[in-house]
Amino acid sequence: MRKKDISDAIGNINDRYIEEAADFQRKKKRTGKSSILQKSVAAAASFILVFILSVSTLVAADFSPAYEFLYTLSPSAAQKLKPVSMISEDNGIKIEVISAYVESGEAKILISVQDLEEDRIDETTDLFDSFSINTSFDCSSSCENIKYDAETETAVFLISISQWDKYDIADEKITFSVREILSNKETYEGSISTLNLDKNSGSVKIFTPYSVLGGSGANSEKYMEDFQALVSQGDINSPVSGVALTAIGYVGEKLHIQIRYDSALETDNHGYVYLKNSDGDVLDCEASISFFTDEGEKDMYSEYIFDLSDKNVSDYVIYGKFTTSNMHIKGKWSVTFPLEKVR
Amino acid sequence: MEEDSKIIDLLYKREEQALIELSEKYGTACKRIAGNILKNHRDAEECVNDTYLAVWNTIPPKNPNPLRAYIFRIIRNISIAKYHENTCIKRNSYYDVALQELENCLMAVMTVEQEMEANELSDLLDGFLETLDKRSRIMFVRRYWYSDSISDLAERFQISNNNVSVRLSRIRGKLKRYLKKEGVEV
Repeated sequence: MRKKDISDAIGNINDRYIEEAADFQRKKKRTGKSSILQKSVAAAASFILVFILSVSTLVAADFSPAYEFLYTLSPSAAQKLKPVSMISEDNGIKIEVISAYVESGEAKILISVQDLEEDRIDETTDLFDSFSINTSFDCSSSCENIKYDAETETAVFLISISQWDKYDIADEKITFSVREILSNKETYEGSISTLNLDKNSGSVKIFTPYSVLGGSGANSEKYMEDFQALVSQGDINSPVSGVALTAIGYVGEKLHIQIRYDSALETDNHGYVYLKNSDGDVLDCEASISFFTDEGEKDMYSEYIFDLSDKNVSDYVIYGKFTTSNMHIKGKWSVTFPLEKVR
Repeated sequence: MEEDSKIIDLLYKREEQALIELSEKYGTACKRIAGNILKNHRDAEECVNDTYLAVWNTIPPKNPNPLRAYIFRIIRNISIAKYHENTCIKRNSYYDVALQELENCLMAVMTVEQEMEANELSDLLDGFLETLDKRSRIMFVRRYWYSDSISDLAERFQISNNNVSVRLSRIRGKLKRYLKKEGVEV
C-alpha cells in the first residue's frame, strides 16, 4: 500500500477519535461558558439515550459499546449512567475496590488484585500500562503496587487522581479498567561480559533492521536516521533468562553493544547497558536504538552506543540492569465506584 | 476565548474577529500539527494561515460540529500537501517516520488485485480503534494522525520512550490481527 493511501486512510478516521485525542492534550481549565455547554451536551445525550436505549442495555458488560461511545461524547453522562460494580473477575483473577475517597480535591483509591485459581500474583505484579481510568472530569492519575499479602496472594494498588479543575468530585463515579497483568518479575544488575572492547578485536557486519521502534539519549535522533544495526553474533552471554548479549563491535568510531529482549511485547523485558572501569567510574551510552529484525516482531533488540575515543578501553567492563517477567495474564477487568468524601 | 458556536456565528456574519478568535483558541495546536509534519517553522506558519483562509472560505455554507476536528483536518491536509510538494524536506519529519511505521505494518494491504479504497481502510481503522482501550487509542491517534514524536508521547503519557515504542508496536500488531480477522490480506 502506498504511503499516500495510508496517510489518506488514517486522515479520514472519525471525528470523535480526533476530539478524544485532542482532549487528552488539553490541560487548560474549562471556562464557565464551556462548562455550561458541556452540561447541555451531557443533558441532551442523557435525554436521547434514555429514549433510544433502555437502562438495561447500558447495564451491560463493562466495555459495552454504548458506554464507550457515550464516554467519548460526554464523560459526565457516561459516568452518571454507568452502574456501580465494585468487583470484577476474569481468567481466575479478581479485582475489587477496597476504598475510594477524596480529600482536598485528590482522589485515593485502593484496589486489590487476587488470584483465585493459581499462583500468578506476587509482589512484583504490575498492570503493564494496560489500565485506563474513566472520569467525568479532567485529571491526571497514577497507579502503583503498594502491598502484597502472600497468604491470600493479593496485591494492593493505590490509584491517585488529581483533578485539573477546582470543583467537588465527591460522589463522582470512576471506572477503572485493566486488560493485562505482568507478574513474576526479576531484576538483574551486574557484569554481563568481560570481552575485549578494543576496536581492533574483530570485524563486524551491519544491516538495516526491519523496523526501528525508537531511541533514547540526547543523540538518538541522529542515529535513528538510516540506522544500521550489528548483525547478531548469536547468544554471546545471557545474564538472565529472557535477555541476551548478541553483538559487540564498532560502527565508525562508536562502540555498539546489542541486547536482545525475548518476547518484549508480552513480557515487557527491558533494561539498559553501561560500562564501568576498575575505579568504579560509570560510562553511560550516548544513545540507544530499539528495533525488530523481522515481520514477526517477537524479540526486540536494543543497541547501546558508546563513545570511548578518550577512554582507556581495556579498563572497561560491560554492565547491565534488566527487568524480566515470565507471567503475562490477559483479561477484561472493570470496576465502577463512587468517590466518598473524607469527613 | 469564545465558544465554537460563537466563532461560527462570527464567520457567518463575515466578521474578521472570527479569525482572531480561531487563532487564539486553536493557533497553537494547529502550529504543532503542521510542525510535526513539516519540521520547518516557516512552512508550518504558512500552512496555518492557509488553514484560516480555508475556514473563512468554507464557513458558511458549512457549519461543522465539532469545529476543532474540522480545523485540525484542514491543517493536517494542507501540511501533508505541502510536505509532498516540497521535495527538499529531509526524511526526518515526525509525520514521515510515523507513516513509515504504519507502512511496514500495512505493506501488503492493497495489492493490484485487491484495489482497496483508502476510505474502506478508514472504516476498518474506525472499527479497530473501537476495540482499543482509551489510552492505546489515544496513543495511536496522537502518533499516526497528529504525528506526535515518541518523546512527545512519552512526556504526555509519563512513560519512557522505550515503553511508548513497545506499546505502539503492540498496537500495530493488534491492527494487523484485526485486519486479518476482517478478511484483509496483510
